[in-house]
Amino acid sequence: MIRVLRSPALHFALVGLVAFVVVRSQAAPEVRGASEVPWTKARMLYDEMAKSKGRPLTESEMTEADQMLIDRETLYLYSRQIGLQRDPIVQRRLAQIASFVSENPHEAERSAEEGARTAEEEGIMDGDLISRRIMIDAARRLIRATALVFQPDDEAMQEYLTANAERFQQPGLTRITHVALTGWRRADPRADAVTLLARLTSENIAPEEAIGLGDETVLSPELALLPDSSLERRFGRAFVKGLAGLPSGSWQGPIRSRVGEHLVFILERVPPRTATLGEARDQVSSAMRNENADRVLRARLDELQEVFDVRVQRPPS
Amino acid sequence: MKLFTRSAIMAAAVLVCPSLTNAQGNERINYSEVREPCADYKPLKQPFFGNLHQHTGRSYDASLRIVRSTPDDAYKFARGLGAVTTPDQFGFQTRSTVIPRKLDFLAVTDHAEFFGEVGICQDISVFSGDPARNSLECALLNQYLYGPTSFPIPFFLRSSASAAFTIFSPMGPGSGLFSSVMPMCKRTRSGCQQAELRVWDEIIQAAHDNYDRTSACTFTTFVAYENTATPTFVNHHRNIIFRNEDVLERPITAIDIASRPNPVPTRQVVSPVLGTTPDPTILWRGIKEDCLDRPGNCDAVVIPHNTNLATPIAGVATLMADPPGDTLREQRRNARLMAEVQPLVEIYQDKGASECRFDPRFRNILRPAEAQTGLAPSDVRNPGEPDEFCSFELLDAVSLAGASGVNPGRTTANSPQAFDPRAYVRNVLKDGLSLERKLGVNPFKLGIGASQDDHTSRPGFTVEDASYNGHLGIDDAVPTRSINTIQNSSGGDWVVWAEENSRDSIFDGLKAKETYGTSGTRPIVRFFGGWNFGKNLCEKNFVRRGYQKGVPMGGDLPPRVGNKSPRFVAAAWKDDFIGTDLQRIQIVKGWSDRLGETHEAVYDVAVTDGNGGSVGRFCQDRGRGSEHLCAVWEDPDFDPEENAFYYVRVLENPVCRYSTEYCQLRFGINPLSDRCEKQKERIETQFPLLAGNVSQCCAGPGTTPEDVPFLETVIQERAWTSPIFYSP
Repeated sequence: MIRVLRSPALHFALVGLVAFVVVRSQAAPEVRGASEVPWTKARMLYDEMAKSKGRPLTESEMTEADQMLIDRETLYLYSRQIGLQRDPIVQRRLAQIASFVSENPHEAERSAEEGARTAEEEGIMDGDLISRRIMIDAARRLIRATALVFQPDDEAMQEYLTANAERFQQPGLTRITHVALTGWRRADPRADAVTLLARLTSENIAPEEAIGLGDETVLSPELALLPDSSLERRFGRAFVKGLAGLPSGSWQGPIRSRVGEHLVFILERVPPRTATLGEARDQVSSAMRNENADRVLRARLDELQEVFDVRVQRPPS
Repeated sequence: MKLFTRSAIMAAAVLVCPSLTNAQGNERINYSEVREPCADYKPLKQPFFGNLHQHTGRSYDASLRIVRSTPDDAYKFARGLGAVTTPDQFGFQTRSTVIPRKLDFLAVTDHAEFFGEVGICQDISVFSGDPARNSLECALLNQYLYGPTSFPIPFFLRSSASAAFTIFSPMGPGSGLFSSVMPMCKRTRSGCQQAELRVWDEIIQAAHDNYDRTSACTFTTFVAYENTATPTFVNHHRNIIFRNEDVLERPITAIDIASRPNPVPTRQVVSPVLGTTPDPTILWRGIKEDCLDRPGNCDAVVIPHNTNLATPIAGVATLMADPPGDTLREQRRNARLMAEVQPLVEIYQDKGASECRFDPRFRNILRPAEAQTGLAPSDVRNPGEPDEFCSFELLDAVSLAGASGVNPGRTTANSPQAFDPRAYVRNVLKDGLSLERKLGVNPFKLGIGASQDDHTSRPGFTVEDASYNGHLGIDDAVPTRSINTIQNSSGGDWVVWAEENSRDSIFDGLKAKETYGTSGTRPIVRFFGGWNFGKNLCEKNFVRRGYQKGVPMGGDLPPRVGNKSPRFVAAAWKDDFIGTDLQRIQIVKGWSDRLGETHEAVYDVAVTDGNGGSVGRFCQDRGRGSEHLCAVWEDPDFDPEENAFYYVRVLENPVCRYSTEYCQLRFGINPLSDRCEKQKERIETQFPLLAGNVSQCCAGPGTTPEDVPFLETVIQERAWTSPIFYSP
């Protein structure tokens, strides 16, 4: 128990909690009461999702779509609550729309603030896709930003790295010696390779001696420890596929490459490993901060949804 | 918060650099920055595939087409670390792409013009309060135009994006004289300048964050930008690629290189702007003086692109014009400057190929030589046979006025003679030889590569199949909609032979021109020239001998030995990820005779025996080619008094173009079928909403000049190497 309490990751999560508290204190929503996302909007989203999937949505996908709509509406209501409609670009846009729809041309001379206020009062803001988008994005950024600023310490990052090792993998490495047989001088390099393999195995010929038995090619016969990407650059994709799973310490093959047939002696294999913190510090930090920001956003959204009580309208029966 | 200031990077570099070279424990590469040596170091070099021409949402012409991704997104995409989202034809960010094959290196080259405007308009800080954010330009850049309550209308959106492009482009990049910032920066000039540096910082930061400095050396980034001069829509575009993070304080833009500076930079001078050429020497000198020659580790190369869209109009010079100067001495000085600063050229990208132009629609109308731009009758080796392989990914437009497609209003094709000879790189290389005779310096001794010019942060997305969905955001989200978009290609790769995947090693490869370009597949190509190569070199390790006894692609042949003619070894291995076999290797020779006249010849040096390579009606492969081709070739017509160049062109077996598969698989319309028009009519009748999307599906190669646009439904992917040069 004490060990858990001492966990740096837990401390970092607590930092997220602090951020959450800070976010909560940004503005205490006052407006309560149910709000509904219109059915037409929901149906449009279902249709879009179904079209992109090429099939009708499952129940869980529809629930997911509903949650997306509820989140967006909640963020919009929240952004209004904390006054994001006073962002200059939103105000300007609303004023332009207000003057455009105004019956009295002289009203076009009003200030941006006045125009925006009119647009808000007349409900234009609620229907304007652009203003909504700007305000929703700003609200989302604002909530997430509170958590993003907290930089995790090394201990927490190390713990995260250990717990998520599969996301920070370094590729495996292989060191080989190979004997190449090409079609330039041979009628059937594959058959020759099979014959040579039998000889190498029966006479137990060491890798350094075997090199001279093959053809000269553009590829060096002895290679350093290399990842698959480097081997592929030299030999091609088919060779790397053929190499996978072969045992070390004996002659194997033939494997086909760009230049011909190869007999391969795997000298060493280093399995894939998790990167050290030094190697992956930036990625770990970024992943932790973003996860924390997502958690804070989710928690805040859940809380705000209780306040605004947003629901998705059901189809008229 | 995220901004990593350039001053901090510079300070670190300056503090550490004096001890860098040896302190890194790697005597093989002189690193200009702090980094670990690469574990995978190969003295005989390895091919690294990358892209030196990539745009993101920080380019004004991407932003106004509803592209929202950042330089960091592009680098992550190239590394295989994330998906990039692009707009569909309705402007919604609904399309998500991951890279099919990771790249080894990348340079994000956003348009430096309007960095300030983009910086202000895309400022994501809440309540930033900059009044310029309310400007019309910001509405255009962010495409905040549709609404207020209606569902976005795709036709309107695309039109408004095009309108925005037409408003922005002439103001800064578009004139050669009195170029200017946008009006929104009139009142807040300092705000725009700060925003410009913010965007430049972000680009440097993204390159910094995504460069693998560990010994694994998995990915290399370059700080870069594009200078986008477009006088009267003649393409004068050049990318500037920096070796490391010691870079220009601010980019030298098209606005800076106007032939006469605007006396009041914040004032727009609408007239006279036509018919004036910008002064590229301002850029070249700026790079030389403010980067190459100043203390520190700054190094850069300038890479022009799309010579195919640079035919002179209304007195504007072509992109690859002679070295400027009133006197021979001045021309010579500028030729030297060009050779030093601008050593490379992009031969192929999304906006078509620039190698050469043979237009089969004029085959029966003009004499054979006249159907190939810039070809003299005496150049045709086999009478009646110009280089037909030049008929590859050609655009009908002579300039960017056609927005990279067909010139507006034209119903017949431009004759091959309507294009300036220097709109094609092969002719530029030939003219370089003549200039070398005249000036003693060849300003066009150019290395060759290819890239993308994608504007959606998707480097390496060069697929040639139905999944290709454009490179210009909403403009070509359905590429088969318009003649201006279907002609666009899916882009290529820049390949550099280097010892290891680090900035310094790859940049050294670029400066040495040991590079080649591909049209999107990844064949491996080697090319060496020398005087003492044996005839059976293909059977041996010709790479080691190539370096020992000769020079690789991009090099100069050493002084002639005895009475010998030069010999070349050219080898290619097919891309075994895509799997298309190789058809042939050609060597293209250009030379300047004793009178200074230029000529060219194309030699097949290795051809697959009995290759019946073709594609079936449903794009299935027919016939086999080769997995590997190699040949040693001696120039049969070598004249030691004539300066010459030799480059390799590798052709793969035919495959369907992406647009062919796009129409087949997405709409059930087969461009390879005689019933194409009927299939199209059926779709248009049954699904009227799709009518626009299929409008160009039956475009084909054509046989007469009335067949517009020009489009090959079946293509041969290819690679072009840098030339090897010979001077007497």
